[in-house]
Amino acid sequence: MNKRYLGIGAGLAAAAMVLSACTPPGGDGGGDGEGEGGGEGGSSVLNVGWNEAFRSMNTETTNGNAVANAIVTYLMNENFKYYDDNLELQDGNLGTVEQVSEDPLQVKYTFADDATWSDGTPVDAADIVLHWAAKSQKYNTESAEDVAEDRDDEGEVTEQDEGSVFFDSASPGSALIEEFPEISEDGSEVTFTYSRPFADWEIELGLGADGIGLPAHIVAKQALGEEDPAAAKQAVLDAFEGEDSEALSEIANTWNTGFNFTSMPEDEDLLVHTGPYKMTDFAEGQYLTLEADENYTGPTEVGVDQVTYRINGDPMASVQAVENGEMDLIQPQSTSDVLSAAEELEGVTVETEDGATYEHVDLMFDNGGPFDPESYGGDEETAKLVRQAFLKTVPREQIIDTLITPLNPEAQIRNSYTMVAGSPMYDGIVEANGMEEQYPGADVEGAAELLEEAGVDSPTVRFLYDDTNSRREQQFTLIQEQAEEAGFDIVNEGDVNWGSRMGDGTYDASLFGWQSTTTGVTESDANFRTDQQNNFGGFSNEEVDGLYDELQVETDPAQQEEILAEVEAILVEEAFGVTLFQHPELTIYSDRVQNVSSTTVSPTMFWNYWDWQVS
Amino acid sequence: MIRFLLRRTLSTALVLLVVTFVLYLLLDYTLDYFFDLRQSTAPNIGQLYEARAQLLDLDTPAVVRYFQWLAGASGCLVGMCDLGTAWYLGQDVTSQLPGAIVNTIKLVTAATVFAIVIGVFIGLVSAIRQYTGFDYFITFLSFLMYSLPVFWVAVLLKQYGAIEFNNFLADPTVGWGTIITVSLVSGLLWMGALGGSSRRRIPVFIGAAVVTFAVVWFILATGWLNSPSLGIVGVGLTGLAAAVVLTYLSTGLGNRRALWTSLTVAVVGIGLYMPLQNLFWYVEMSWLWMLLLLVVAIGIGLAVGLAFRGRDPWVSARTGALVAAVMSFFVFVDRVFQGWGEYSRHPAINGRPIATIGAETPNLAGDFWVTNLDSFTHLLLPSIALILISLASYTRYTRGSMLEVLGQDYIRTARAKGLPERTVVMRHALRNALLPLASVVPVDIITMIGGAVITETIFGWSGMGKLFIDSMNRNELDPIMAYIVITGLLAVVANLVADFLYAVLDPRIRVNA
Repeated sequence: MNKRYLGIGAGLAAAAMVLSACTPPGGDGGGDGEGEGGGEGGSSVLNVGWNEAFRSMNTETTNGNAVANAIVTYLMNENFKYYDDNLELQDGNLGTVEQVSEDPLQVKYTFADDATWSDGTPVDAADIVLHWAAKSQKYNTESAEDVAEDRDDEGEVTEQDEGSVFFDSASPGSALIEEFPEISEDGSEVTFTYSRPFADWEIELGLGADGIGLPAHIVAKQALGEEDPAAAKQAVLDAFEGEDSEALSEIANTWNTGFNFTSMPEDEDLLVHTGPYKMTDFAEGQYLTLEADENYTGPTEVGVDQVTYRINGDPMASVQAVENGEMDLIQPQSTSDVLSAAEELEGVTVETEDGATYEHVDLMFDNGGPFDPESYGGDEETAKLVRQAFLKTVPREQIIDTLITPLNPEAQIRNSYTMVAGSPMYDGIVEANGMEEQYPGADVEGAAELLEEAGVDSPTVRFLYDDTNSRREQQFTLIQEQAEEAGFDIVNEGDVNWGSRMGDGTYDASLFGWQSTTTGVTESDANFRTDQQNNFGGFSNEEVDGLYDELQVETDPAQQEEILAEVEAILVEEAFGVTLFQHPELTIYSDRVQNVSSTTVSPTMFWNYWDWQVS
Repeated sequence: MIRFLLRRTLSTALVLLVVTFVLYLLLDYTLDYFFDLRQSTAPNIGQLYEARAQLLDLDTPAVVRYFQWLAGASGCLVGMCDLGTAWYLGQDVTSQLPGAIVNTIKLVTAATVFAIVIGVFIGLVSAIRQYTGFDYFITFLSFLMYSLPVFWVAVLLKQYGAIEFNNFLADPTVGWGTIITVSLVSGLLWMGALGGSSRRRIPVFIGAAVVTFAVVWFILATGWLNSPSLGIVGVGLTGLAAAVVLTYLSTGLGNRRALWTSLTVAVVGIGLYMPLQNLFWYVEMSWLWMLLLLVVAIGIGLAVGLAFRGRDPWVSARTGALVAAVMSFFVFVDRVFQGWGEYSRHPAINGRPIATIGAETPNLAGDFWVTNLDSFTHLLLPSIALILISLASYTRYTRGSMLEVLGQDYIRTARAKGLPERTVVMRHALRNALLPLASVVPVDIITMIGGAVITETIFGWSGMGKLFIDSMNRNELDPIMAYIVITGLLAVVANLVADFLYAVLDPRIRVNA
């Protein structure tokens, strides 16, 4: 051993000892030192799990119109009307909506005194005008087809020819307002005149998560470079009133895509809002944080200081996250596995309710199949009897008992084509439409009789459904059993791409779901009117078409209910199809959250966010 | 060499072109661009369909759209990337990718390194102890892990590794029965791994059991779990132990200069512990700093090794550098864990530090160390899931090729001329046994980058796999194409790297061939 090495080693060791004499200022580094424990003592935090990430502040474009956006904008913005858990319309804090004249239909929007954007600019006429004008398509100089040529390779509507206007949104109600509205001197009252009566006028503007739409002064600032809020608002009004297509083109571009982002935007203007929460953090694909806005002066008092949306698409992972305290409130896809896993948890409440989607069986009227009069030489009556016979066999009660009751003990058969159970008109319509008596379910004898009466022997029915969805597969099995017993020949057309086959005539009966977005009475129009987009079965009935024309302009709820009941009675008699059940929805929340409640339509469990309390 | 590279590049480009073309058409045929409208009851549904068709330019034939896409994508070669738009999110694909890639790399790097190191080590020991109880046990275990479905492992890991463990942390007490069982099992494992005659086995068994018992007892009795840091004593002990073990493995304890080098490095490390704590306190740290300090540490290791000179100073230098790297790692881990108490009490953590979802805790403001600790608590479970599954295959590969090599004549010759067993195994056998791994590992890494789909989904990591599966579910063509191009490119690169690695490890192979 060379002494020199020892010497070097000893020297180094000595140097080390000397150096180590200085104690680090952080204490001895023991982990359980007097840590500060973060700097947010006393603030209440709520973590909400959701399966999809936020992507746009504008919930009115075709693409921005999604629940994942609505649940955020609903907390950030005030509105004129919103739905409560009984699907009844309630007044929001933005102001009042009143019908000032019935013919012509005039609706007056009055803004509350304290309705202001978070940057201090008042909410007024310019905002609601932009909100309406964008949805009305009145100012679109280009039809959608022309726009196609202006889209770039990826189809974004970002760059248009100079001076052409296209707002990427459409709403039938706003389209009925053809005149520029009357605006009061101070801009706090705006009166819209409909060109003809419109049933759903109350929910046309300023509903729920849409709030009053985008801040007009910010849109103008981004689009026209107008920095002063008042001038910017005036610029928007002038642009619309004067139909200045150059300015409108810029405004439309900003409105369409300028407020889309998937992580925290650098430009704080995009986050200007009217409601009690402000966005403070947004990590792409992971989480989004809202905090109570200390500058908010409106009447809503929130009980939770910080709401974080954590994104996770796996239902079981969400349940485990609740158990581990990472999420407090979730609404995962309802399956019996998720339900039983959640019910095992301690300190967690599980609620099952009706969701927004309902399951239904529809028949094809125009494909040359067993339900098409053409097959019987145009004999309407025979085809109808066959249809009725088939619908009679559908074991509605059995389907609910075996598949849905385990998930939602209070589940009931849905007996209305147009209204969801619990909504104000449901009971009246169900009483009148006769679906319950006509198609009680699994009536094999009745079906066989009808078939005999029709003189049709074992018709072949091709049945389309999503066979990757196990619940639909089980429903098909139950339906098939009964139908075959009654004398039908069922062909299994299960297909994961069922969606793209809708209405193509390659099947005779289909099973899928419709999802309601509002309780508007005109919403069912697209399903049952001749040649409408959602009328896949080729159903056509002049009486129904006439009734819908009437309904469009009927503003009295009692009359609306009567018309819908008449429509449904025809649908039942003509054997359009049967409705089955409302998809069950699961709300799971930790006991540290109080006052959670969920409603059937968007924004579901967020509708009463101001009532939330955390302990 | 250059011709080889050129040929490979050309054939790669050709393959990519064909693959993207075929896949573009197939995907376009498969994806349902109207999936979200199918069940909608919106009154203006017709217009919505029309608007969608125009948004995606569906009237243009798919072949034409492919070439439009290709034109944008080939812009990447000249720095003007245009990979299209994820229409559902209304976001450029080029802005989606960086975040996803970073997250995946974070997830995969640690998992791969640990899986390889641990896998090779276990496979090696298992091969040396062929047909012993230990070997059968490892074989059984690796087959078991190999056959476990990752989604199931993930759920179990969350249940026991996070939820139950967090519950346990609130009140860390364990029954004596459990502690004794753990100690006995550990004793058995060590006995099996070290092998030897029965006279050697019994002391090994007793020693390992007692040490385990003491460690477990220490951890529980001192509440170490709630303030887990090593301190200067822990860092010192692990450093000295690492010095001895690494020297044994790399040169043998007979090489005194190497042994002195590594011990000196360990002592220097201990001496630098306190100054480093000062540095960490006064200067805001970053990964750049960490890298710098690691380089300095390795430099010191090399310098000490060279200072000891001798016949082959680079052998000592190498050992010194290794020890320095290990010491640095422990100092880093120690510093990260010093923040544990503060982290655990943060209201956003609320005493439940091990996370089941995501890559970070929302709204957790903290310095470099707290952020890293947070990353670590989120990385822990997905990494274990990935490691468990790839570990098994590495163990099997190493064991298999090691056995084959050990049975060859030159190993018998080496033993016959009297080389110590350590030299035979480490220098002559292991190096050759690693050859097959060289072709497996690069490809495996790529598969992990592209294929951690299930792990990423269950643990809520928004990485490449998640991007792919989400885009599929949202019927967005462009992000899927980007994913295909990237994983395709990486696969080609991985194969290239494997070829070169092979050539480096095995002098009989030339890349020109």
